[in-house]
Amino acid sequence: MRNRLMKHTAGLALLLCLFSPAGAEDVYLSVPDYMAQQFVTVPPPAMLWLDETQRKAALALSGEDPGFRQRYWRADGKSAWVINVIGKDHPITLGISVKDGKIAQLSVLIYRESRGWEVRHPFFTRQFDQAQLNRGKLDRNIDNITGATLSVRALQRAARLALWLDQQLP
Amino acid sequence: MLKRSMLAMAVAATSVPAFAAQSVEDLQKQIDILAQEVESLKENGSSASPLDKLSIGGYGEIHYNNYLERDKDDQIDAHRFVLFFGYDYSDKVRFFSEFELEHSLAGEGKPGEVELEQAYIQIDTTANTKLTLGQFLVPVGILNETHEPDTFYGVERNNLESKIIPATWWEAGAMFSQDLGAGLTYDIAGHSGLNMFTTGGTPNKIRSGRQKVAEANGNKGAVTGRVRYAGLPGLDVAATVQYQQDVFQAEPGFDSVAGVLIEAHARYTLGAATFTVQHAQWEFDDAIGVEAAEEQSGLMGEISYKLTEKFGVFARHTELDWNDGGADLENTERTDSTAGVNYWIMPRVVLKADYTDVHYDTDGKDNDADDNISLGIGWSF
Repeated sequence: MRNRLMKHTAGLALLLCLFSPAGAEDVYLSVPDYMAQQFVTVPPPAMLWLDETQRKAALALSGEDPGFRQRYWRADGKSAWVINVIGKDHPITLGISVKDGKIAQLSVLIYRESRGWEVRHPFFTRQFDQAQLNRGKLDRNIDNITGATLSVRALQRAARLALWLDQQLP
Repeated sequence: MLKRSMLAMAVAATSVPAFAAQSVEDLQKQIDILAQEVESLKENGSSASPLDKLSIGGYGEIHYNNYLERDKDDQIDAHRFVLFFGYDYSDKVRFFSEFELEHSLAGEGKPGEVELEQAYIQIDTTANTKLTLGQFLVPVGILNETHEPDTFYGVERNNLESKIIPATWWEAGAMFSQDLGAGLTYDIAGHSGLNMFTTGGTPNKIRSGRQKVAEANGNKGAVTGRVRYAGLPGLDVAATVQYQQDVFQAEPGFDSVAGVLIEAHARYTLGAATFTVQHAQWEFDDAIGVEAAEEQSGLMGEISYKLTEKFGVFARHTELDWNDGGADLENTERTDSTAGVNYWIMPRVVLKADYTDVHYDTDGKDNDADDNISLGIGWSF
């Protein structure tokens, strides 16, 4: 009896895949869908170009190098950014919108790390709502998720970067 | 690099005569289109270079243990040097691996080992489910799956997750994971089992039973299930149950020794303070041969407090009741009381120092023998 149970355990895992609900694909957002959530009428994207001095300043503040340019969307006094940031060793793609110098919404668009996928849920990301920079840091503590520490840190770096990028807009 | 190359191509493509025929607006439009294409490639994780699909990471830790009241030499040890290699076949299919050198020097008569700790394919079967196939870390405990030194307090890992949960513990098989939403997840895995029987060795010692998927005896396997709730920021509650079919991997016709591991832990962070409790217990069939070894367990409690973003203090108490195998007919009962500090030079580079007082409730054990002050440096990237 036990032998049969054990031999079919791997098969059970595969069967669970077949019976698992498949209707939740929209948990991950595409960039157009994220922007549609942020704006009544999605504006065309624009490009923010950054020189070496600005890149160094961004790196010092956020821990992330934004590169020499960042694409953004801007309307209704709000800017929105798509930022890739590495948690442990894979990139996490985030959508972050900023209004009045505060984060309006942070969403995980694609999560690629092996563990820590809980950070994509609103119960975690809403901690960032209305967060702003205070002396180069977020003005609030972001509670960690055990086992997702590196992803949590990555989201905090991305949040600081988005707030800094918003400050650079003319 | 790719982005620069494409923009350079755009500029190169606009030869001088063509430039004369095109307006600045047209050129700007071309650059915008190229930039959009680059951004799209970046978001979709696809590019012309296979190197962009490759990920590399790692961690390491070097320890110094000063034994306060023992004649035995103090020790300095490059305990772990680990490299991760991963490859994204697509956004839904990924490869992960972990390659480790322990104790700096491996080989015949050397203290260390070269180990393949993880090598698996992970498939996103839906947005909320994934399948892991290959050699993976057993989903149990706090440290077994996440043990980069910058993520925990203490120079050495606590002994509950060494002697009861034999971390780092990996097996080969299949694991299905589902995110039920609102912070509730579960994992169920079927995988290779322990082999605690070693002729002339330490037959009842759990840690020695790890086969490390190295030409492992596969006569009998194991099933592990874990349920986890992390739906409130700062809270993590999880419970794992594992059934081992036969931890002696006996040939057909011989007595088998089944085992059940139950582990549960809760961790809650409130502001700068974090509170952790963890319990793990094994029960083995009486065929294991040593009555005391039929039950082995551990209990751990830890409080930590971050005084600043970079500086934290902690205190930890661990009680263990385990069998050290060999000729030990009685279990060893041991209490570790540890206090120390972590200082993060950078978020992923940490200096550690702690003091551990070890107390044995077992006759014949020197209560002061293992008291130590330890120093360490750890990093991950």
